[in-house]
Amino acid sequence: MTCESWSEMLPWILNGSASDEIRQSFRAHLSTCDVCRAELEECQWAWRVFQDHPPIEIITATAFGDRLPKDVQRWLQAHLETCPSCPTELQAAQTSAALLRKKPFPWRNFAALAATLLLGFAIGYWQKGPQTISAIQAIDLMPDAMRGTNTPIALDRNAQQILLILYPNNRPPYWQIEVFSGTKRLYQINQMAPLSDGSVSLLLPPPSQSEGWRIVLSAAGDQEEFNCEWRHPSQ
Amino acid sequence: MNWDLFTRHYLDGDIETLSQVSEWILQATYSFRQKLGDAREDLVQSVHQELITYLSQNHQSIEKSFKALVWRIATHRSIDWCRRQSRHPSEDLPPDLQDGHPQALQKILSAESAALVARVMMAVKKECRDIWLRIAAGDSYQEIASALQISAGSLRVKALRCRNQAKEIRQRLEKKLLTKAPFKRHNHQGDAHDL
Repeated sequence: MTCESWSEMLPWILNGSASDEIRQSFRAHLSTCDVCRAELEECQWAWRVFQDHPPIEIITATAFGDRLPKDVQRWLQAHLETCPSCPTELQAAQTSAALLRKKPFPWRNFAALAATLLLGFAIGYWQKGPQTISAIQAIDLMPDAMRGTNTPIALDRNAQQILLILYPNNRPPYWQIEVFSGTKRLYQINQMAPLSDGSVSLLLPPPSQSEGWRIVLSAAGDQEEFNCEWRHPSQ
Repeated sequence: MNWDLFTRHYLDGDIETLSQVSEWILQATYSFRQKLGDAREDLVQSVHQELITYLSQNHQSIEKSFKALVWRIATHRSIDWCRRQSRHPSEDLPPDLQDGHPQALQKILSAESAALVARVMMAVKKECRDIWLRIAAGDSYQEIASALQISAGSLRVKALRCRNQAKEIRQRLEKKLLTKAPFKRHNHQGDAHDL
């Protein structure tokens, strides 16, 4: 076959419908022909152009708030109004982008609150005695099945509370949550509703020493487990 | 956060850094978890592989957030995986032409490149799109020729012409870009420009 003939056959080689003989013959030819390699790249590019859906990069750029040309934005909007699958894709990408921007604790608000409370202490006297402001260490956790390693989490020496944000795979209306250290159950919450993104947050006192926690989430028919190893600053 | 240092630790295989990046990939793919199912674990590994290959070969310092880079790639790959499930499987390509290759990865990070594809998509003829959608669906050239009531030879020539037309449109748009805003082109961080 000539390079011109290969060029005509390329779409059917790429879609897998060409015979085995033709595909093997093309692979052998490709290893020695730069012209056909260039044609293959062009054909791949054309494949993207003739798709039924916008390039994925447009979806992710929109989700992550990149500035796109106005005509491309209008074209995308028109497509979203008629496509059954792209709006779902975009929504999932936007949820993902929101997780990137998500701050586990509003430190600025916390600093403003701390300043206000300090001013209150300076002006007046509180019958209950001085109140302490807790420092909160926030940690995100994925289910065990998803995590390749269980690297110990270093506890911040100033942390007076830990905010554990769990990301279970399933989304029942409520979870029962139990936190164990070894066989000893430390905490139990009978009904906790997940947030809109499916995550669950627990605000707990930090462990007093290095130890492992097993957090079990249970709902009708579902159980997910999260394990974490704490490394205490004193050890 | 010193992303340069973080990237170096990552490429050196530091366990804590690798673990952190895995957590980020999992978080980024969280909203796709129902569709990905068991494939999510494989996706984590393949994103790691892409990142390591890309960073090793490009030797560029990460000025913007490495975390944001990981997030984008993981989100892109999640959508790509979901779309593949409804597509006809295509031929195994040579490694450097597969989607996960660093050169392909550069396209992910460039909204400019995506906008160009979008503009060509807007300009191509419906007849061309119809032929290529059948190709993407996995139909053989005999099947498509029969459906369109043309000869197999004519069909192959038409498909090639459509491809060349798309290429011409792209080249025209690229030329327009160069003459319109010659000093805005050089951006390697994936920010979009007005084209």
